[in-house]
Amino acid sequence: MAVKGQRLRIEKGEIVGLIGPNGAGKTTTFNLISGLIYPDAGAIRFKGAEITRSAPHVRCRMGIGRTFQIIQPFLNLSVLQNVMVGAVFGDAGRTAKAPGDAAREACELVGLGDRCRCMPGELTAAGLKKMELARALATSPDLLLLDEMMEGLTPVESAEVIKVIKKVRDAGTAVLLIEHVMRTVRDLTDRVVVMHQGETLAEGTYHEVVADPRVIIAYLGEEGEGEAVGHS
Amino acid sequence: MVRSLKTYAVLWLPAGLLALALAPLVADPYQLHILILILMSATMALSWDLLVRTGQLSLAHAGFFGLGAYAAALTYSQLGFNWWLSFLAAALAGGLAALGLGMITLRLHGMYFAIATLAFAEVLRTLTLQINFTGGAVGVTLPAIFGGSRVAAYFLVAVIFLICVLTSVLLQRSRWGLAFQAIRARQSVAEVLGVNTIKTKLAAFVISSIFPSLVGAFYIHYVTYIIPYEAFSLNTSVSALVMAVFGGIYSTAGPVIGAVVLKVLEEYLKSVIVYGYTVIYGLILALVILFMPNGLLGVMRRAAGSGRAKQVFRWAGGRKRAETPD
Repeated sequence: MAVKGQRLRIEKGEIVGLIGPNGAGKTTTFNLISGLIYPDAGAIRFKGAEITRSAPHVRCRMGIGRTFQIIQPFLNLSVLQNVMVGAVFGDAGRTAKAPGDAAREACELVGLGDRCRCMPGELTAAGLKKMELARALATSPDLLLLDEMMEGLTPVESAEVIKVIKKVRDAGTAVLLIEHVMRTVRDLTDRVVVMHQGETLAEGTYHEVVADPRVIIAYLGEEGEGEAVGHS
Repeated sequence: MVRSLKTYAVLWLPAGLLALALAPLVADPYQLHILILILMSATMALSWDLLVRTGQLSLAHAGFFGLGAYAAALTYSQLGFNWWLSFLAAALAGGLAALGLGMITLRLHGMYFAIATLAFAEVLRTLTLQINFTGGAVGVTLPAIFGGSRVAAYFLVAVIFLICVLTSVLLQRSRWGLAFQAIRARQSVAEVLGVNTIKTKLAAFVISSIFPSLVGAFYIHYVTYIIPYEAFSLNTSVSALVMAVFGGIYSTAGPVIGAVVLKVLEEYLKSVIVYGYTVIYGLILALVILFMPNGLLGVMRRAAGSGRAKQVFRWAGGRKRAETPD
């Protein structure tokens, strides 16, 4: 079991960082929330409704949007069409916007307004990341899951994306993000959850968790011999 | 530009319709028979393409063809349906069978789905061979439709073909078309973006299966007899696939072009090389598929100076990197 006994709660308009060493179960947590895998035990609730066994497309239409760590573009569709998929099927008429307008808006928000007609193969790695974000935004999420959005972006590009994420949060969307770049975590998050070996190891503000000795041990390992800390 | 081909479509679509309408006036009975075979094949290939657009490779077309043929034949001869009601029965039987088969098999992908659908035709063949009601190995015989008027039969199959073309074009332009392409590219991502992939694929399978059932119904009414070995022959499934791939999949024009070219080629080779024409036919097929991975349509697009064809190759190159699952 990759994730066990994990408690995670995210409120509206909050940016929560999910960090932890490789293999801690961060992406597995995302897959559980977005419905790509189902838990063997426990429950997942969203906006008061139990969604533990709901199909991914149902959760998306309820308002859970996500991006993938490894970019997953539809290579056979143009940039705008990629985003349209989210607008047509994910938003599914929840917002009154026409899918075409919503998709174009999402593209403009992430800075791809002039690349709408391109094919994904013509975009840079950063462009693809932005398309991935636009696609998730076009589903009009109330909870946005971002899996290592900043990976491979230059500092300038990261700053742009951070601006977008803050804007989305200010509009009332809850954001849960997996991030390895600690500076981004510091600048962006209201709260940080540290995962280790499939469990929540620590929780608090950025400064609280980075000062937590258990977190330091989980990341850097313990010096010398001794009992592993953090899972009782 | 891509557009140039589309602009041509505005010109050759009415021209094609006119040619279809006027063909019986100029064609002799043999040529008309060939035209009927071409239209049947084109409908088979194009309807097969409708499902492959969602990324599912089906070998069930022969099953639906035979099912349609038997449904039409038995409702016509045993239940006293008139010809068009027997076509309706065939469509209904095909659609319902696809619904049932799809619910069981559409969770499978690639080879596994292909094998499961392959079994469908085999099961139906065994059943028709064993059941008395279907005439067993002797098969069923019907009187020729429209009193044996080849021209009337031609127009009937032309209408079935045109409905298939219209269905394909409308699907491509609708949100269904978008969903098909998204599912084909990355199903789990489509799902996470709100696409109900199971429902969408099921709808594609049902629509895609109604047409071979109609062609099967037409076949029995036109050819007047059918036996289980012919009705559920693997060859039927494979040739639909081959014609679509030959012409260029994921499009309306491709499978139609593939069916026309391959049927004409087949008939020509048959008349020139009486024995063993299939060897040459197979050789040509292999060469085309080897050297034109995007089918005839891909070559035409490139010839038309389309940027899209170049992109197709680029994507194919870029794909490996991005295909790693999350």
